[in-house]
Amino acid sequence: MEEDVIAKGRTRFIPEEALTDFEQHQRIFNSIKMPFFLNDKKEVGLLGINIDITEAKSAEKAIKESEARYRILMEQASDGIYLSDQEGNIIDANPKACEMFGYSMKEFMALNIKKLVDPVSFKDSVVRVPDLKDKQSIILERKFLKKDGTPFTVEVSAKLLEDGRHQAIIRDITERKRMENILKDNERKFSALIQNSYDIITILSEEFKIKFISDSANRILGYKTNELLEKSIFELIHPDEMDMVSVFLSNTLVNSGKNFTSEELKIRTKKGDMLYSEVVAVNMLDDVVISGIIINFHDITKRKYTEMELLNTNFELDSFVYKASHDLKAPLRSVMGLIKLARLESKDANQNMYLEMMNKSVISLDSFIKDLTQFSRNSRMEIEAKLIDFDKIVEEALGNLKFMDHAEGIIINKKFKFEADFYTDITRISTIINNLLSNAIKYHRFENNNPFINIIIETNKEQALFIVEDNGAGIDSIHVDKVFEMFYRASESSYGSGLGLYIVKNAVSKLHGTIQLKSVLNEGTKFIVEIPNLLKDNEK
Amino acid sequence: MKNSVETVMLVDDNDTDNFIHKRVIELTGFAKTIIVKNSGKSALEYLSTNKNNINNLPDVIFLDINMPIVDGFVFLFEYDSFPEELKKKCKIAILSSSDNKRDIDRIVDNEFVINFITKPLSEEALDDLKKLL
Repeated sequence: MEEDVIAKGRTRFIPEEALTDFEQHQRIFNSIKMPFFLNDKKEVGLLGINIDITEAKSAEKAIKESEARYRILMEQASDGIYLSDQEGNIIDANPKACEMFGYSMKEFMALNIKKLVDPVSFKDSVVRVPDLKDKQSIILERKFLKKDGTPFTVEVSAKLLEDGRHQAIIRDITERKRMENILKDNERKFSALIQNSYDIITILSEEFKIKFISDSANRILGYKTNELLEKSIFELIHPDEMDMVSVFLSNTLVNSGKNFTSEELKIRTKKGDMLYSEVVAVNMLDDVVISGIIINFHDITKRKYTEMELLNTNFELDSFVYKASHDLKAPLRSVMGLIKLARLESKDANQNMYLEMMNKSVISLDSFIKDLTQFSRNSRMEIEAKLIDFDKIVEEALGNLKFMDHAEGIIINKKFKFEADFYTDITRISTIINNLLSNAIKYHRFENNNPFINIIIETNKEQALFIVEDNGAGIDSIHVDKVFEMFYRASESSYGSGLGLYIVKNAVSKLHGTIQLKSVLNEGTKFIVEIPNLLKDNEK
Repeated sequence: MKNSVETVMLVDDNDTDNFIHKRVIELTGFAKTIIVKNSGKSALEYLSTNKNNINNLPDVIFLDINMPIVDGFVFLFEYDSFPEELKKKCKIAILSSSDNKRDIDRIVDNEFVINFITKPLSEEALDDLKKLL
């Protein structure tokens, strides 16, 4: 280079020349090298002027790198970013911003931000320069319009740059907004449910103080909601129940997350009246949001009074039936006794025949009264599970029936297999057995020279199977479906009340069992009864 | 077991029933003497009066349950306070038109009751009773 300047005598400018300084550091210079003539242009020298531009050069490099980084950031940002000048014309934008608004980059760059803002919210949504003059960025929520006119909600972080341009970073929060609204709606819904419920819902602190109580407390107990806040829950409990509630709440307290129920708890109103309530409590002290014990009081006062009334009515009715059946039966038994006496003392064959017929009528009336009493008791009395001695019940039943016409001619086959103790209601099981055996004897074909009744009983832990099978008159298939109906009599030779099988069916269903009937006319009848074993309930 | 019973007492507020039972006992020859009381109260009075006179006491008392004022249950309650000797001699058989299980269970539990007979009184029932004496 230097040789060239000297040889050609031309001045040269070198914009960037790397040279090493005295301390061996490389520096960059603007260099001018020009020929320099000595001794009347006979000797040529070289004049060099070097301007050190090392600092300027590295600053320029830093700016370039920063620009590149900024572009990368713009390109890759998941938020939309745009810049606008003081008039609001878009002067730069990233692809995400274009995508969010649905414009191409070219279209977007030609827009003014006024075009982007939803005109409905335009008035209060323009970023005003004074808002930004402290140069802090501000974050606000506003509605924008897409190219196709769809509105969407964004969160904008706007900033006034030093050169007067605005930078905006926008984030689409339509989905977040929608979720927030759903949450708000749900909250309103739940709060409406709670406040309008017939239940009283409370949240208690660890010390059983009321932290929240639903408005229903006002309607049901007569307290204003704020009267009860910070009061002890025991103020709502009837004095009789204090001990019970203490135990109940202590159990709740030590068993986090577990539901505790009290089916019937007396609570008191502000006036001091007593109410019955069903209570459910669950300890949610560990729950960050609830952080308390939730208790739900369900007012069952009306139901309770109806129940008590019903019990009382049942008791009265039962006493009435008991007394009435006795008063009906007593004179009937007297008549039976008198007939018996008359027959003992009379030698007249005709008269004896009449007395026998009277006796039959009286017996049928007597058993009808028994049926009515049994029916009335069966439908109302509670089930009382007791150990059942089938041998004894069958013996007693057969004993009662042995005086029935022709009963002595029937062969009774018993096949019992007891694998487990069997528990059920003894009155009802006796009713079932008595009625089925009495039918089997009553409707036998006595012309059959080999009449029999098979009684099969099998018990296990689950249930008892009870089968009565005869080779008697059988039931015509047209009656089979109806024999269990009230007052239905399927046989012309029936002299019963038509209540027997109806009572049997009712008793079976009271014991949660099943009964099946298989019958062929003139061949025989088979009743199959299955009754669940209440052994387990009884062991409890 | 004795072949024949000396004395029986019928306690029933129903005179028709008393008549029937007396007649059946006579016809079957179950007992030689029959004392008839038509209330629980008069029966207790009789026993009380004769408590030291063992020969006048019945071997069997046929007791009805459903009677006004002193019914079968009250009778049994009062009977308990009689001297041991009396209670040993007088066996009680319930004779009732009730076949209500509740009544039967309640009264059969009583230590002095040896049998429960449902009205009307029959020869068979008397035969069965005889075996229990």
